[in-house]
Amino acid sequence: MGPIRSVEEAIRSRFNVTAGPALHDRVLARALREQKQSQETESAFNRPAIRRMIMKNSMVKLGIAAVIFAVLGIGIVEFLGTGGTSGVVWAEVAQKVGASPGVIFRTRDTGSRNPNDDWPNGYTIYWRSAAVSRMDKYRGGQIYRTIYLNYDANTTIGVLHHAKRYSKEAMSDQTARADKGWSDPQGLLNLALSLEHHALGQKTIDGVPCEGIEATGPDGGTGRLWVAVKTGYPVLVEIEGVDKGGIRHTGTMDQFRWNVDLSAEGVEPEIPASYEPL
Amino acid sequence: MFNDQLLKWKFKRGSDEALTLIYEKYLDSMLTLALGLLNDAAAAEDVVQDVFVAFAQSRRNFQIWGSLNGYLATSVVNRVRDYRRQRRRHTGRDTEPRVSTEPAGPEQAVILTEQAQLLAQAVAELPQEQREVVLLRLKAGMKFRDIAKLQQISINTVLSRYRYGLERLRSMLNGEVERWDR
Repeated sequence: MGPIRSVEEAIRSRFNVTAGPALHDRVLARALREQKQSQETESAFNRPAIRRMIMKNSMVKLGIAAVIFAVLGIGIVEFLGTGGTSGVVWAEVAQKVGASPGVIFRTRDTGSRNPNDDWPNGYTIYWRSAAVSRMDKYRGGQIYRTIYLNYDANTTIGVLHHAKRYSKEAMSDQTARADKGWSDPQGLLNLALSLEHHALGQKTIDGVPCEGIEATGPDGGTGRLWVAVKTGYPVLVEIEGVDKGGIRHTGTMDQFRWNVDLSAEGVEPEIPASYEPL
Repeated sequence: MFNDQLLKWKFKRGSDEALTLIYEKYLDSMLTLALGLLNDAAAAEDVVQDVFVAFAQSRRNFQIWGSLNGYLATSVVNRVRDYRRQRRRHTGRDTEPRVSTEPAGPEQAVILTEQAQLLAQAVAELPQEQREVVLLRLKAGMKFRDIAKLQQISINTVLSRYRYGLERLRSMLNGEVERWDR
């Protein structure tokens, strides 16, 4: 996409404002009252009951988080369904994933709609726990964006490294309510209970013997989860799916570090003094 | 979903339901347009309220032909111009417009908010006549010839303003939006 087309598209799709509920109701009440007053001198019309129709543009969403849930949850389903018959004890996988206080991992993804697709040069590092989440995005080996969420303090920090700008804000309800992905073990369990899956057998990944299973998510995407036989922790997640626009996406998650105490890792980003507020 | 022709017809007959559906359909886009033109949330709320109240009052004289979106967008622009002339003073508001989309996750929600803030800041830096053309075209979906009619200028001038506006935005955003493809 050319620079001008990118600007057009950004204004069209990313510059949007939604009325808050108080504004919405106040203006609608005024408009309806005005309409009623203008009608009082006229013959009565048969008015149908008012009903609200919320019209929202649907956004194309791959739902990678859902697929991640799916593949992690598979272990639980496997346990529930079979009791575990191989080297990997899936009940322990589920327990370990749920009990891990924090996890660090890398993700990479592709989408053929994106002309700037930077696989394998671009990647994202996540730190996740129930209390905090941090995401660092890299391109060409350089960090260009950091997002930090503190669910306990209800704050967010965004850092645009290339632009040397940052934002510090209270966490919106929308952000707080959004899927927390790996930091929501209960969510994994709930989704896993409804999934089809099958065993993939064993293979060695980076010198580590692993066992895998493959599941199909509710949106038709597939996910493969590979778990280290020795430790029982996931080491690789592979995702494939087609979004509503017919675009094929792939993603991987690897370089996992489980059982990390994120409070001791200094997860909150330090903002250089030269950076300006957004 | 009701189409606009049916909504206009029912609205003209005094249907509360039609007015409500029109309101639900166009409130956010008109608020975005007003906020983009004014860069002032409280003023944008005032403008949008005035537009929908006037719209409700106009039922009897409302012309059923023409684009509903274009009609409301033109009303917003005219109210914004009135507002600028009057420079009303504001007190506190019971709500603020909030940037909102449907994020795929919590980090995405933060990113989308940042992007909308950057865009709002850049749009606010445009000269008013360029800002009007860019927003009417991209947020209200108006045709260039209708924008020319509204601004009472030639279509070539509108096209120039649009092009210069986008170039200026691109320069101000300094390649930022190209990174947003991901």
